Amino acid sequence: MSEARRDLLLDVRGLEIGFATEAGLARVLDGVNFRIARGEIAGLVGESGCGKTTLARAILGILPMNAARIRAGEIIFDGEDLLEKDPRTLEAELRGRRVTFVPQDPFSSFNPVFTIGAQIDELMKWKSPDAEPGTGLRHYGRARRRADRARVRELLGTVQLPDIDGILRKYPHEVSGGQRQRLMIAMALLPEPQLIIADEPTTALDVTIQAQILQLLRRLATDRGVSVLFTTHDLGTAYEICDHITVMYAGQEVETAPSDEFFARPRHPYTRSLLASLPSRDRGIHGIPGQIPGLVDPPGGCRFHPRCKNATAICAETRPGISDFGTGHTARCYHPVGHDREAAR
Amino acid sequence: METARYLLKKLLSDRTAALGAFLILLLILAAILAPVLATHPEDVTEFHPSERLQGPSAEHFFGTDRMGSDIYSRILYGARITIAIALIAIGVSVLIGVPIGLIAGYYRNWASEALMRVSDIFLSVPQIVLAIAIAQTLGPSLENVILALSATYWPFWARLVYAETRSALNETYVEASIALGARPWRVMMLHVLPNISSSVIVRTTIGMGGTILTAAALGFLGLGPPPPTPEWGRMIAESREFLPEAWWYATAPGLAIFLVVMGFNLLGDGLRDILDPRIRRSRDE
Amino acid sequence: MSADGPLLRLEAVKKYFAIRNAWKRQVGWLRALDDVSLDVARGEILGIVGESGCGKSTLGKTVMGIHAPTAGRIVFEGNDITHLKPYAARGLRRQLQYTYQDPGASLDPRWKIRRSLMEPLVIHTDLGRRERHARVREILDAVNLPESHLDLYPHEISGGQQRRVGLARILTLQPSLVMLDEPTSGLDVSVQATILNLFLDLKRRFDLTYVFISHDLSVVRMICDRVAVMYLGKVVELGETEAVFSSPRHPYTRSLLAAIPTIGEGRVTEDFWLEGEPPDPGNLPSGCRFRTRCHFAREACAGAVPPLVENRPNHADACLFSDEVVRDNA
Repeated sequence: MSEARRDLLLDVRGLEIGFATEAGLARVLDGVNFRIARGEIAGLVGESGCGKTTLARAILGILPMNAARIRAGEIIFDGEDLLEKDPRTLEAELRGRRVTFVPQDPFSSFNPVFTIGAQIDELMKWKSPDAEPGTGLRHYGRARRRADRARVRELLGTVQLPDIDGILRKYPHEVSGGQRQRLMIAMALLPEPQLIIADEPTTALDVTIQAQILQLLRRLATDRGVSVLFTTHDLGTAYEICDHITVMYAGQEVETAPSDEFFARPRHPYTRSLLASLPSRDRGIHGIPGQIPGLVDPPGGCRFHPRCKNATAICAETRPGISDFGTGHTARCYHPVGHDREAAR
Repeated sequence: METARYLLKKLLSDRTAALGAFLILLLILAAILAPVLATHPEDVTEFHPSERLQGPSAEHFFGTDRMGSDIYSRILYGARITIAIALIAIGVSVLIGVPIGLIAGYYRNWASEALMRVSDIFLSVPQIVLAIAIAQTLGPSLENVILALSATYWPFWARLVYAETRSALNETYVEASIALGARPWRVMMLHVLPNISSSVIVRTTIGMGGTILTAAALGFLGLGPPPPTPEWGRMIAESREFLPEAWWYATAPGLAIFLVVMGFNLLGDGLRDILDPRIRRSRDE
Repeated sequence: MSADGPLLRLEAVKKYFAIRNAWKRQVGWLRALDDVSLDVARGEILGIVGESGCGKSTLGKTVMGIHAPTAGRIVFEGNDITHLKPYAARGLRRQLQYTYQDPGASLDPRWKIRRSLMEPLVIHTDLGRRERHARVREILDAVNLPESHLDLYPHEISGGQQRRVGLARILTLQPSLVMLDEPTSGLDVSVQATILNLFLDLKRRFDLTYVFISHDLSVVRMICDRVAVMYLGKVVELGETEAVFSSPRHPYTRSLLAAIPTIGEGRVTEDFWLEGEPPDPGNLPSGCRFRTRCHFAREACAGAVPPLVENRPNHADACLFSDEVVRDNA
């Protein structure tokens, strides 16, 4: 796993993004580090307002321009800093081609007045792997159209959609939520991207359908060697699918580790509390006291310190640096759980 | 009180809505202060044939009409007629239309269907034609104009409130209140009506403009209050034989109607933006 | 009124919605509830689980009188309430309350929290203003909300707080049975845990019985005494929570349990066998509704609709081959 990690596809370093609000500047991302290796499914886990969606959008370059300010940091994708690049080049070459998106709500991502087939055709005009970047309409020749159609059909078969011809003729409201999400995954795969950003892709689905979609995503990612950024609020879902997990809290990343290591030895007190608040028959119910902090005037130092059992004076003063526990496991905490004991031994 | 101040602030910060409010304020002031502002208050009933069809001057701001009366003064008094017609006709329409819409929307039975079909019949005839027919039958008078307008305008409110009530009944908080055991009357008056009131207010404001226009049209056709009542529509009708030489004769009442109707429409549009809770919430966040 | 009988009893309740085409002609029935029979004992927490479209919310709303049942009988505290409109049976309904899935939407956006909390008391009691205030304050304290929240509007408080307000609102009436419709959906896990603890605390404090309608099986497993699993309008399995979860007798229950992400156990990405999606509820297969997706299905399943039978003490299922399912579990 640590071998694969060295071959980084995406490396986000010290990213700071603020949103102008009436109450002042909200520090939605505050010095976030996040990495994805080639071919892995990297989970970004956190509760509402932790900044996981903002990070996903920043990588895609689709932050609301009027409100969001990128204050510091870099987003290095395949060796290039995306924040340095011309937005038009990003639009033409990167977004929807090398990086694609699977949204939480597949319904609102389709235009309700066109058939699904027409919308996929339109996508292929611009973003099929054969299309020259930035040309689109002008060069959509018959041969390419035929090749694209064959590719679409094959891929829809791969995502296990029944009756492909029927589905292409249908309107978005005529297919079920699970099928829409299969379509979104197929559409995200069509341009043969290097990275798929999946923002809570199974949150709106029933558990059995969620299981099917997770299974599908896992298989396709492995078969095609594509990396996936998978955001979720549910550690259980992250356990099911992710190779590597990063937990975020109030705009900062707090812990990162390979999945098995992460669940075997969680280090950060927030990760621990989050795991403990999952419903479990054996442990009873344990919430986390207090509230998620506001982002306009967040607590200083470690943002989790007001809710943390282990907090000491230093936690309120400066943000903890990165502690490395080996095998790719890092956390930002002055008092990582279980570490002192192991070190003493 | 808090909400009233909030609304006022929002209203004044919206330029077009503020203009609308200003025009309507002007109309109301003109009506109230007519005796003070008018240079020739007696001209509402008196005429001076010797001074007929004089152009605008320091003596007669908007000139004089075919009877030699001061047009400026007649327009000021005409504002009273306009306000009376609009307020009473709209008031009656609202008082008939809103309860019908509310009850028909709440109860889904044959009676509510019947009520709505009746209002559909009213709506299927062009308003002005129906108003002309009624005013024609009953004879030209201020009361009959108001009656004709009320009879033709209530279905608009019934329809609007019916549709809004239907959609309000799908709101979870209305259903929650019913599930709590609230009586229909309570649900209608305390949950449905307050929550649809903003659309009713907006519709009423814009409806004011429409009503004033129809009233002027009836006056123009000679179906309004008889002379010498200074009704704006009739004033335009009288001016026709003297056009284009006596250009001021038609211009002044025409402009008055135009500004007032525009005022109500602008204010209505502004109110729609301010009162729509969805827009309001997203602005606050 | 018999004290030892069930608090709430559903006897073969059906709720069908007409499916109409563009010309409002009826073209079929959507059988949202089909022959549902359930007892809710005093003091228990009965979980109703299933995926979207299984009829669990319709069940709650039918009991509440928001939907009129197509057939069957609903008996609450020994009284038949099948066809009573909510306001017609105020005295009875006062004992039977319902919390909405989206508590924010169940509060009038133009009313301050104070007024929303007072409303049930105004409807059901003759208490004076001061007594109402005292009662509201007491309940507010029970759900751990500060009094300052009384003067806020619903959109000014967080999702977890809205849920507390929703609960407080019905608790002012001192109900005996509360139907909780998806009470934890949309909450962050750390908040969810505190809300669940609150439910349990309030249950002890006010002697409540809960019907807990949820799609989240791990929550249901943790707090429910018994559980009913629904699939397309039918109860397919009913029993004590532990028995159902550890030894499911219906293939659908089994696949539902397998789909829950559980940390430390096998991953669904490696081993999940349920394929396809539920059939169109307006056009159901004959016989067992699950047979089109079921591994155990054979000819007999397409015949008569399998009834819910108590094949084990206190553990009923609606599968012709449940013994085989249990053998396969092992």
